[in-house]
Amino acid sequence: MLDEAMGEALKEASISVLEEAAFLMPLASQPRPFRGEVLQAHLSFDGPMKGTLMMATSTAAAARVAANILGVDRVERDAVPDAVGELLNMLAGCVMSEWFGAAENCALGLPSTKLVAVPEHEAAMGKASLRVTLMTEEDERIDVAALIEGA
Amino acid sequence: MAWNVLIVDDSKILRGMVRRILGLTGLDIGEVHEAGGGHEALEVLGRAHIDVVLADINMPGMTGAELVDRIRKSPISARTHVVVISSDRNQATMDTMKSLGIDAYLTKPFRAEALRDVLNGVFSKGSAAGASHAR
Repeated sequence: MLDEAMGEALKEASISVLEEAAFLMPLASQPRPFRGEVLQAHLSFDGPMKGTLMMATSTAAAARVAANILGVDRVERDAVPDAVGELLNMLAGCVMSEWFGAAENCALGLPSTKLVAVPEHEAAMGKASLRVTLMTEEDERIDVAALIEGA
Repeated sequence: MAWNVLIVDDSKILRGMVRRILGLTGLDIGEVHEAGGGHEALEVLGRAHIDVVLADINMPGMTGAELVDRIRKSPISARTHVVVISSDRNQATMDTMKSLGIDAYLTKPFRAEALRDVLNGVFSKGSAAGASHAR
């Protein structure tokens, strides 16, 4: 069974990264259904534990994240998946340090993104070892999850 | 005197983020160049005067460590300041980069104040020397 502290660290790191990099003020919340496709970012990690981190949100929320990161009103469409992937990359660095400490080696992969249908996303969340759902002030849902091998 | 900066990151959005935050530091920044990888960074360093390189390390192709090594071994850029900006908070990674001769290591995400403090520290040293860590 995974330590509750790991889930708490995932939540706190997610909130911190979204605030600092994307100027969002998210709060942990009960999930509300996504409408339309979901943009998922994935990133593998391999250290004291091995697995995958995922961040997911709607394409509209992802566009807002990208605009906030760049400090502009609107972004090119190709910047949107990149923004979510890079947020996940920042989160991975934070959360690995919290989980395992800075002294432990933990290799991080490069982030990849894909659009999935809502049922596929909800199934992925259901399989996750740790999961956090955050809601932004604009009522946009952002999911963060970890799938840990052997957990 | 304005400082010329080269931002190296394979992610266009992160180059944009660093450029935006750089503009919020209040520092006297001159030209800001961007490179999407190590080879492009070396090409920019060969044709433009750069005071400080802000480089990611986890990049496809030439890694940040290889880039720093190439920068330090080149007579053109051996004395150019290098600040690593990375999500990697592993101490061994920081130590490796320090041993290659970076000036500072800043972890992402970061605020404008953190970048300003790092760059003030780097520029006050005059030329590239030992590394200091931020955060």
